[in-house]
Amino acid sequence: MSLPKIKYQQITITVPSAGTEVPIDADTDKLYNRVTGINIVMTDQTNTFSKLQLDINNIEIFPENFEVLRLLFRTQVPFGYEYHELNEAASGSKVKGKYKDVDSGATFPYIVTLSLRLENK
Amino acid sequence: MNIKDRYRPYNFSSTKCYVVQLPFSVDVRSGYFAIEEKLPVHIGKLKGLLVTINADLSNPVVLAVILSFNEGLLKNLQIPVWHPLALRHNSHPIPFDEEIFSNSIMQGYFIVPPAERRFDGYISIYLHYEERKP
Repeated sequence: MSLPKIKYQQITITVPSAGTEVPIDADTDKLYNRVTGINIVMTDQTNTFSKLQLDINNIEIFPENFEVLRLLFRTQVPFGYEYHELNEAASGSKVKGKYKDVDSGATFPYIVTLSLRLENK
Repeated sequence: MNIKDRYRPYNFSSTKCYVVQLPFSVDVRSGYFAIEEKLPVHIGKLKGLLVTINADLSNPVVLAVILSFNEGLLKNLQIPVWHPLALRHNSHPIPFDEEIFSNSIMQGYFIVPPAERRFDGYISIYLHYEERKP
């Protein structure tokens, strides 16, 4: 059986309380060699000014003070356009960073899912 | 940029990003907030710009931020800033393609919206750039 051409790898973190900084530390799937996209889903989208700092394969993708609101999609996003594009090395690359909550009135705890689109190119 | 590209999600691997974040607390009587920030030397060419403001605003569509680079040679960029609730799917920075001098200072200001008595929060200026070539 062959591999699916695209894999969506989820990295899930739980934000327990207001102002918490949650570390992100994961490896990409070794069977795919490129990270081609990223999408963020939050169970409570109130705290959109929260900050996401992320490196993939030691390359900075989102710097310090990068607000997660820039990565959220509106609800009527066209089919096929739901992922922000990336072109980074995968094959077991380190995904490291942190999520810092900026409280605007969300209900805690809430869950943030980073979905990486992985492909072989 | 045609409409199809406008809605295509931004490729965050195509540029590097640097965020300038400045807190402000302005009284409407003072009228404006001045921006002045020295840019890191590794910013060689600005490829895109996006500004957000985190503040409690009564007016849904807010203000224009005026920015200048390269000691005023590249000036009067009016960047619209939208209310946070209207901000969705705004991953694209405003396209821009300008060399930045080394040791350049970004200067600018925004005028406090007249509906606000006191204007507290912070402004985030996203600079998408290519690194300076040696």
